[in-house]
Amino acid sequence: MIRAAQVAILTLALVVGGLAVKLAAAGASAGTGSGFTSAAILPLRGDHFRVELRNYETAPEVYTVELTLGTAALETWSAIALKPGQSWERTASAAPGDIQVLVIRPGDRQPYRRLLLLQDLRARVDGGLASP
Amino acid sequence: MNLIRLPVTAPRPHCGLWFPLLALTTAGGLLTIALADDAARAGAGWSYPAFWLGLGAIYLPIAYRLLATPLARSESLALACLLGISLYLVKVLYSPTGFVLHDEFAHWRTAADILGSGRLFSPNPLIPVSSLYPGLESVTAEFAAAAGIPIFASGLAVIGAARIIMMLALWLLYERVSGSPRIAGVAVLIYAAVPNFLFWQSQFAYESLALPLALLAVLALTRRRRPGEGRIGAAVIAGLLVGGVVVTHHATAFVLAGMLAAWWVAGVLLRKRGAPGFQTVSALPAVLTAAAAGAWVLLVARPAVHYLSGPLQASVSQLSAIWSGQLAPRQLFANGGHADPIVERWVAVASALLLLVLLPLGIRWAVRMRPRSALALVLVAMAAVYPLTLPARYSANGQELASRMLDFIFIGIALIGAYALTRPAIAGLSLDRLFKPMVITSLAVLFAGGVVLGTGSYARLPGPYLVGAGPRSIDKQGAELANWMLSDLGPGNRLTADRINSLQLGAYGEQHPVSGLTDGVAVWEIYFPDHWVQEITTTLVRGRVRYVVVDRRLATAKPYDGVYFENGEAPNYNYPISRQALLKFDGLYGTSRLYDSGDLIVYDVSGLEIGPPRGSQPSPVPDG
Repeated sequence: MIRAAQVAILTLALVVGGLAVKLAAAGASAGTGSGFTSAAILPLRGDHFRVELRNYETAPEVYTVELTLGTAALETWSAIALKPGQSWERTASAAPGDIQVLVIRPGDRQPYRRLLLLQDLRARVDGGLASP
Repeated sequence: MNLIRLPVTAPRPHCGLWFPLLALTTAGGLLTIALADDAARAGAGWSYPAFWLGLGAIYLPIAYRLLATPLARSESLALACLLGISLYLVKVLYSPTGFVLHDEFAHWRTAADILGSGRLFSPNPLIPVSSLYPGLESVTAEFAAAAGIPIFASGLAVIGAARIIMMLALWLLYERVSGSPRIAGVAVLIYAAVPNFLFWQSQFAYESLALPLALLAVLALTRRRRPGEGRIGAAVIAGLLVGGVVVTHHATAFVLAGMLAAWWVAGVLLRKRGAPGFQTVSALPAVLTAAAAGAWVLLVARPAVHYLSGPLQASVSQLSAIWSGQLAPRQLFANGGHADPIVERWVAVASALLLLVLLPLGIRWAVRMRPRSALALVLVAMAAVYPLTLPARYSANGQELASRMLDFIFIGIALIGAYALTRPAIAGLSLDRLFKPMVITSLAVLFAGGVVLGTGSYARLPGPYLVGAGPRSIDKQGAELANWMLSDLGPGNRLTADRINSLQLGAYGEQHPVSGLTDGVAVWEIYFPDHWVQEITTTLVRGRVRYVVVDRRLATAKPYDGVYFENGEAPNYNYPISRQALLKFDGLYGTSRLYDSGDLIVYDVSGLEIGPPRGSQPSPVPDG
């Protein structure tokens, strides 16, 4: 009788302990931050480069990416809709110069993310990092 | 050799439903702590009392039962293991999906290097000596490969197993030395009050494995042989365990050698005084352990000399400066200007005072009780060192050193404290039998004080990001940056970052964060000035730094851990670091801004060395 009760209580203890671990894992996976978007520009071989966006926000987002070379507009990608966890990337090329990337969300007064690639310097440093 | 041999004696007290019920209350405590962790992530105020409630539900019922009489030897041993593994799970529940404590990242990197390359001793930029003591990481990597599980899961299993080994070894050691299962149970309860027990000793780090192995080695040497039984079995096992300690952790290996040497000396002194019946040990184990530990340092781990002596020298010089009035003492219970709650401070002070009262009582009684082994005198001597650790807490380096020393000193304190609490008080009845509530309260104060002293209140529960706050600063943004750098820029890039971001970048990103410790580069000199000065370029060039990582959140608060980058940083600057200082990299000629996640920015500073071409103008990036 006692043995059966022991087994029953120990089983219950294991269930409760397992529940604690499961609860903790779910909470830790959800995280604590408010979410974020990462933007990156990666120099490639020659005059190529890659622009990347990753959505780690808590909700879907729509972005516009503006590319300028010095003061001249180079390219604009609009209505980039990304759900949380999704990413977007484009490869482009430009003459040597300062390439600026502005990531803008609808309704934002200021650019959400900013990047700068000194394309002319890059060639002088090491000729790029990766193949396009 | 059978280390754990339970005697067959009849009649024995039976645990009945006690152990299952205590397992259930312990599980309830863990569930309460899991709920507290979850609530803390959402910023709920009730998470803090719920955490303490959960800890109480784990510790107090087990303490109550361990003080019961009669208590079966096997039940006492099982309860010790239940206590140890439950308190280990408190740390696991904090972060069950990844490592978050400082040293864990360095050891994860070592394990990943072993798993990836199949070779030992790859350079580790986070803690260089980590890869030179690869015992823990080798076992973890082997288990991960064999079981087909990630390093994190393998590490949790290895440290969990190590915790059970430690509780078994501690309990059996105390029983062998004192001859009393009752004292062994109480001593284990007191050892759980060592400030590092809850988090530090539960982390994926070399001491978490080395200490249980060292205790097991000592236990093997305490085994009483039957007449005619050879010594070879115990010697081989002890030798293997010592070897395991030597290749796993520097400090534990030297402390073990010291303990064995002291045990031998104590035996010699007792024999000279004609004291019979004490179990002694020859000089050979101490000599061999010291020789192995020394040879490992000389042949494999020479950087360990500086790694160990540096903090020691800094502690001594800081304490002497405080003594002479040249340096203000460190404010206790304040973390980067963020003080722990007043109740916690009183509990911590009470726990220290309680130990100071218990030690003389316990030492006197331990000597009168004539313990079975000369090792008891070694443990008495270790416990007697405790008062010296208290003033050390008034210096930053001394506090860290004292905290590490307590892991070893408490092996003695626990036994002496147990002697004090179980000694006859009135009419031959012991304190714990006469005043059980008082003794349980004392144990609770010791345990709570240990928790308070071991981990700042900000770091005991998970929650929203805090600046320079150990595990509270580890977040998804940093992890994604590490992933991006590895996938887009490749491994091994030399970079600078603050202390916390360096951890994830160095581990998961496989990058090389330069630091004063590994590269002799004072990283803080790059970040603290409000404006760019030529010395920054010089530092970057000298350190061959390619990327500078800026966490803009640093400017929002003083670091809870006391430093943004490394100990001794920025003696002439104000805290918190200014926003201007962190934004100065924007618009600087020669720096590309390659990555932006809102708080974390990555600059490629390789162009700084080249300098601007004639007639060029920088292209500033306006900051939002």
